[in-house]
Amino acid sequence: MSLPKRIVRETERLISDPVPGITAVPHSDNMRYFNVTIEGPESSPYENGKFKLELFLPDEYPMVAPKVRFLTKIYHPNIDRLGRICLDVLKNNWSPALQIRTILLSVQALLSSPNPDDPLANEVAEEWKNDNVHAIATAREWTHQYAN
Amino acid sequence: MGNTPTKETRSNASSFGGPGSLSRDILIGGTEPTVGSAGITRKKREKEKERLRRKEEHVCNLIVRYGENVDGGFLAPYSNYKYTLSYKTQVVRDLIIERRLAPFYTPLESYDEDWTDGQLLKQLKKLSLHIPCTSIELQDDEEDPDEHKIYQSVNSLRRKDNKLFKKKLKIRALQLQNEADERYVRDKKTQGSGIRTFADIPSDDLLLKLYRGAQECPICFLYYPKNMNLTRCCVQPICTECFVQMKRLEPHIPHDESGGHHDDERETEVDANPGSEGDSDDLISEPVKCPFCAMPEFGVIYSAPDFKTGIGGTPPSEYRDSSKPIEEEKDEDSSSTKIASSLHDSTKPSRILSVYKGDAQHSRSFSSASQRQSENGTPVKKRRGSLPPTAPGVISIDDIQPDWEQRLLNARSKSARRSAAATALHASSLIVEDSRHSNISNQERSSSVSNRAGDYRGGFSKARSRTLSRQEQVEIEQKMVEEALRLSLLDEEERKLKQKVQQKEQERETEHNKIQTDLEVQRRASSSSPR
Amino acid sequence: MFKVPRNFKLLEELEKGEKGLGAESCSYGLSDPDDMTLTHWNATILGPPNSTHENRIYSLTIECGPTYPDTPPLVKFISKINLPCVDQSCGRVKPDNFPILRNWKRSYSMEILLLELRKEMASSLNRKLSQPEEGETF
Repeated sequence: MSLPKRIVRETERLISDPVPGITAVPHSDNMRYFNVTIEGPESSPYENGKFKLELFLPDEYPMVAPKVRFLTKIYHPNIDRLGRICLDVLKNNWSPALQIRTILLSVQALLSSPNPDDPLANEVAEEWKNDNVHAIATAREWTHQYAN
Repeated sequence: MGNTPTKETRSNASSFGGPGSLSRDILIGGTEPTVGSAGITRKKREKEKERLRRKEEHVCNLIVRYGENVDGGFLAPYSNYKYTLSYKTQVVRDLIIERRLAPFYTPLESYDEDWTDGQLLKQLKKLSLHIPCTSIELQDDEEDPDEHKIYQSVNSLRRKDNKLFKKKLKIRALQLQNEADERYVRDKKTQGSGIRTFADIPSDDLLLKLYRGAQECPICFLYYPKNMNLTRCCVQPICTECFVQMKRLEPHIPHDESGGHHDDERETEVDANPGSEGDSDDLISEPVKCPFCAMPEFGVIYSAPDFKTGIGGTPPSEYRDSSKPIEEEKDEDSSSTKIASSLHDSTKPSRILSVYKGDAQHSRSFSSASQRQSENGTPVKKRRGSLPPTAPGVISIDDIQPDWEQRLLNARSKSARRSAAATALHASSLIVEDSRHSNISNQERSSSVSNRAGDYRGGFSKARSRTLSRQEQVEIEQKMVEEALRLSLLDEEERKLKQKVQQKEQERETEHNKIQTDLEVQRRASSSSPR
Repeated sequence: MFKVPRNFKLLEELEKGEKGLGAESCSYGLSDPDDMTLTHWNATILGPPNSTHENRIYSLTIECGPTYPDTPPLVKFISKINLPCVDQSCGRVKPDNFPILRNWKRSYSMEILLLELRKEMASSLNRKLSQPEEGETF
């Protein structure tokens, strides 16, 4: 079965015109399944970290959002212990006008601005709110330890 | 409509009612599921039959037939998307015929403004009616866990039957689509060899008029004639195939960003609506937002081109672009077509034209086609600013996917049933445990091993490991009574909503029948057409 | 058809298990909630009624290797059980004696596997088999 034109074009653009700090490469045996890396944004606790993610475009894409998950352990109030991400554009606020590229940018932006009021990982969110300094230190430590 | 110019095509066509018919025929005879025939009343059986008939009609309506064309496009999607379509096909067909929604144009994979007419035509003539599909894609990957239970419920048997029925339907539809495609290819070939012409094969002029300056749909990245639907809010183009894919999200709890909110501490969190988790009344369904600007109540407006071909217009083969100098056609393909069509023209031009004029009179609000053609040129002025969702001409997703009410209803009653079942299961296991007091130490041991897994469910294992006081038993009984009450209230609500939905359905039917009658008249007129 | 990759299929299964959307008679979840590889799972089966398994709760472990779901998972009973398809020395479910593992399909899931095991317990051949003391483990 051939790949829809849109996915072909998006893939081509991701490779020919990559987003700074982000790579997305499809698996050779499954062109809907991407290996992704996102560099931790500057002046965030994730700076200098290189995070691995996986992304899958379901059959209904782009009518439904891509599925995205962190493969690298990360300490973040909106990312749980299994790497699942709580991000509105991946759920109810998905729009078919968004693309792989825009979604990965949103994930990168989430690293810059965590939202502990809408947590996925509760203990992390608590820590983030109650002892921000310590939480950020832990995030930095984890980045150093796991995201190299 | 009904430009079936040859005996050959027509007799062939009879197998599915002809390209001109609006496919009322039965695809699969005598294969309706036979579920638990005992106990099913006549009325229920009738209803079931009607449901299957609708399904067949839906599938039939998704077949692209070149005889069913409007302004160079079709009444069914090319199927760039492969999964099951849920939109109301009859509503969309009617909207296209009324020129209120862009027809399903066959998309181009790529387009280059620098292509010569010959190059563009070459691309266009390669296009098939429908994306090529193979039987591999028919494989149904879904596995129903209920089929693996010790006792299969009536529902799961029904689902199984349904699955089989759907599969047969799909296979039949695939065959019909392939036949329709083959016919198209064959007719094009026949015409290309100059033997004769077919009224429904578009002229080169029409193809060029439509596809010159083709525009990319920002959702599927495919190229379409520039008369695309425009969003009512931000005036963005969107092709009809993408438009019909859109639908409301499944009913959900308001402001629920979840999908993964299942950390252990979750339960301690203060909910906006305490104790209401999974409460069926909480489920909502919201109108689709614009994919481009996120404006609620997404809708589009369509401005038809300044000519009319196919249903309610002149035959697409007859279309001539009067603004275009004739000597431009240098391409080999097109020149042979030209010879052929002029040959055809010279034999029976007047009669065909008169038939089409007759059509135009029958169809609503269509001015004489020839007059429209001579107007030519100047495209409709582009709208700026946004329009309210209620503005005339705005087509919303709810217009073409009106079953959201039914879906919400189903989701609510399902969730109510589930919570009732959970309550009952919980309660009964507590009561049972009480009577088996002596067993508990054993139970506790075995359930503690499984505790972790069981915890995810908050299910039976926890419940089993404690005894009940009299007080608690009374509370449980009360809960069960409350639940029963709630369910009966819900039934009442469901009944009311169902009524509403049915009423709407009827209104739509009436509207549709009106259009049908129009078409039938046209069809009869054209079946007397010469060949 | 493009296949849903292992991890996303397992996440779907996890979510179904977490939300309790599956059958009531069995449950499953990750053994270690931090296991990003989604490999080791715990499961329970509620013994079917009208059998010697009635009212027992069986614990199992399921291991979904890197090639799951193209290949079946490894399934082991923790609770002692007397069933022909269960290796009596270690509790492992023997694929050769259990059709769902032998003829494994990609579209199967842990839920289906557990339901089939429960069906096995209730089969006319097995439902009267004498069972070890409740609470014993392999």
